[in-house]
Amino acid sequence: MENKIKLEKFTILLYNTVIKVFFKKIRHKICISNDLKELEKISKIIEIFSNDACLTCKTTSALGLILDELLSNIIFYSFPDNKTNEIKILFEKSRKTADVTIEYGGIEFDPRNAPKPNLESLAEDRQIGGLGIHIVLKMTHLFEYKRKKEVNTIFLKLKIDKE
Amino acid sequence: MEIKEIIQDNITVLDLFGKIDVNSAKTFQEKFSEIAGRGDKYVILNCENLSYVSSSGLRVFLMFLKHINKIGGKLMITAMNEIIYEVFEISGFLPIFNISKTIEEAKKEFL
Repeated sequence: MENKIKLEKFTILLYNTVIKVFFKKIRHKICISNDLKELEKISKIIEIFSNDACLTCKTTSALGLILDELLSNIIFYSFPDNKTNEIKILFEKSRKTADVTIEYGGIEFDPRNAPKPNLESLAEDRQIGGLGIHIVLKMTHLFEYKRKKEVNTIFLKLKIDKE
Repeated sequence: MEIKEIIQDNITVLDLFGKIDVNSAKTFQEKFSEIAGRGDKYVILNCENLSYVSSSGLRVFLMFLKHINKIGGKLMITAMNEIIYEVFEISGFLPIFNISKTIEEAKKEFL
């Protein structure tokens, strides 16, 4: 009898795991305002998303880094009027990638057109400007930007690292 | 982020914990100002317990390097994980920083 219950529990657990990993679309949405303090909410939702999507520590860190770079850039430069604005972020798990969509108003700026940083100068001449966007573009598998009806949309795919 | 500091045999070891992002980079920069003000010449930045460093944190790594080079000291970076190493590589930082796997290895570089 006890073995039968254990087997049933195991079957349910196995079924849920298979559904979660292979069929159920893992999606998390969040809306933040253009304030650096709001980035703490992003760290928390990345933690929840990574847990649900069974991401490795490496992928989770990469996701945190990419979001920190992009959102801080948006908060610093997209809203010169300093008025409160919304930034919507959607996290989705695909088969081999973690996908992120960021929607926000503010000024038009395609990060792919940002000036390239100088990566070869001596230490004393080295500058940091432009490095954040450069890191994001190098680390993502796919990076798209579009602007429609005064809304900027960034869509990116990050390859999921395997254990 | 959290920073633990140990000074032994004239070498300052900073153990960095958590992540260095746009918000926590300020804590790191304050520690830099403290160390620069004291004139410490031999510094190890230990990344063993650090998950990632954003460009705001890289700025402070660069401040450390420029300052310590200027005063004729030496800076070592230790125990970087894959993500931090990748970020250093993408940023062109690998040729300008001294990097080692462990604190023990790094300390030998000061002899």
